[in-house]
Amino acid sequence: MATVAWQVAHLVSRRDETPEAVTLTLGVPGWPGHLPGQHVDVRLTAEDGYSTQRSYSIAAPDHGAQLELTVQVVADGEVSPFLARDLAVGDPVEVRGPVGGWFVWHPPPDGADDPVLLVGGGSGVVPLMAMVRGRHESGGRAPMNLVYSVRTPEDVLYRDELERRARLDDGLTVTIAYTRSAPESDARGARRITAGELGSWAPARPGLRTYVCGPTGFVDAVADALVDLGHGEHTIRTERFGPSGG
Amino acid sequence: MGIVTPGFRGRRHAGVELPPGQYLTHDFPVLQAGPTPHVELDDWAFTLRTEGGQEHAWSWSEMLALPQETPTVDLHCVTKWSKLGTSWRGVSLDTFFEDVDTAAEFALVRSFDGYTTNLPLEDLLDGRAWVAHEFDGEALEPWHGGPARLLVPHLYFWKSAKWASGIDLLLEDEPGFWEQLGYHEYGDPWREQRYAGD
Amino acid sequence: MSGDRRGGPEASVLDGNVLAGRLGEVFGVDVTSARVLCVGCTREQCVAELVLFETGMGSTARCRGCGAVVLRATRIRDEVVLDLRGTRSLRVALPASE
Repeated sequence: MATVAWQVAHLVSRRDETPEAVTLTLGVPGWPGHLPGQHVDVRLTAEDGYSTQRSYSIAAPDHGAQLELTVQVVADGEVSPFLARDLAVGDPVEVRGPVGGWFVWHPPPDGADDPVLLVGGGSGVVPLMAMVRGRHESGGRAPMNLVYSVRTPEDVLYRDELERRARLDDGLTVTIAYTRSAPESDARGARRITAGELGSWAPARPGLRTYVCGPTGFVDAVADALVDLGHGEHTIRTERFGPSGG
Repeated sequence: MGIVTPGFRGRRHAGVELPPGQYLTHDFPVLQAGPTPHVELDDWAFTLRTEGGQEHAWSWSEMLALPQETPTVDLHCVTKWSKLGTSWRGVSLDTFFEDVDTAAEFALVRSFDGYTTNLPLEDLLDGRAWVAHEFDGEALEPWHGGPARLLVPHLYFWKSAKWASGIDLLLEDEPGFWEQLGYHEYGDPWREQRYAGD
Repeated sequence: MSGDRRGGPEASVLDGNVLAGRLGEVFGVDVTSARVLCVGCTREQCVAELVLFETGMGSTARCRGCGAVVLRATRIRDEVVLDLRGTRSLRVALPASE
């Protein structure tokens, strides 16, 4: 991995995902490429020199000099409301990355069929979506199972795309578990994921590699439950966000 | 300086005079380097240890029986937030030191979670520091340092050790948790003494 | 990651993945997969798996087993300051040579 340093990026386009989340496409001329699961640090500087930074997971696989980040707006946040609503197309920000070499998905070599389990809480689905998209773009067939815990139907990121991929991508299954309110058509109803449900959606399997991402409490609970279900600790990779969604 | 992003202002203030580099907050940010310790009042003690090894200790009820003060002070954190006019209730360090015999010039403050911070002994005296157990009229919450924390408002707020358990008096200065990493040994916000060498 | 952290103390508790950018700048290789050995309990874990407390003054990374401080990192002016006293060793895989 090359030494990471700050470089200038410009906003190319923005796309609303939900009322509270926006995907930004940044143009980064010097972008060295990245793997699904990695993130970037974004730094903003005001005219008087005040600066602050935040980390955001990359939402899509390597597309050359364009980077997609999905920003979930945190109420009263200093940075996310600005990025989501005020940053104008053409405006610059600084990014550092890609960073993260552990919570990373590598496209498997041809023919390899080890299954992958992805468990995301709220905005924790963002780096997992890069993995889902990465698998599709690399023509992967090895089973990939996404379990996505989210509060309400309005909060579901990438809803239409996930529905389409679940239908069209061979070997991909997507389970959305609502925790506060569910659509009427959802027989499961709205409640927190139980260990029993995890066991039926995500049984331990030989060769299974798992990625869990979301708020700290969610990740800790899921990782512990998976280990109790017989998953090896070393087969689970985790990434914890601040509190949001899920 | 980084590339300026037009329109970005961050959180800032106008009007009130603050130490250099600070901005005004109306929250009370919670920042800690480890899990919140939970200290039972029955187990609580505040212990002054002199350079000669002599100990002076107060239990919770003994501390409450000491003369109480209600200082209103401004807080300045090295992470740049300032919170003005905060009200506390606690015991002045002058009261704790009344019968303590010491030639020490330095203090190392200790907390129940292993945190330490150092400052000159004289900065704890003459009405400049308290062991505070109430904030804003209520018992001090654990995530703000309860049951009791040190309050030394004329220095950056990392010197106001949460979950204070006592003070060691030393003949030679000894750097505490953040000072060991390069933060200033004194920490005067008005001279912007954030890092060693400032 | 998803940006701002608000709320109570649990809001600042993350994991070592957060250190990737700051330490990557220093070491030039990814450090989140580096393995550390806690001096408190000798548990081996990746930097990414450490319990991370961010205070704005610096990052304090603690052993997920016993809670002892394994490493600390902060930015002071133009330097990154590291305190590695809490780990017996730091093992970093080098990128495979071409």
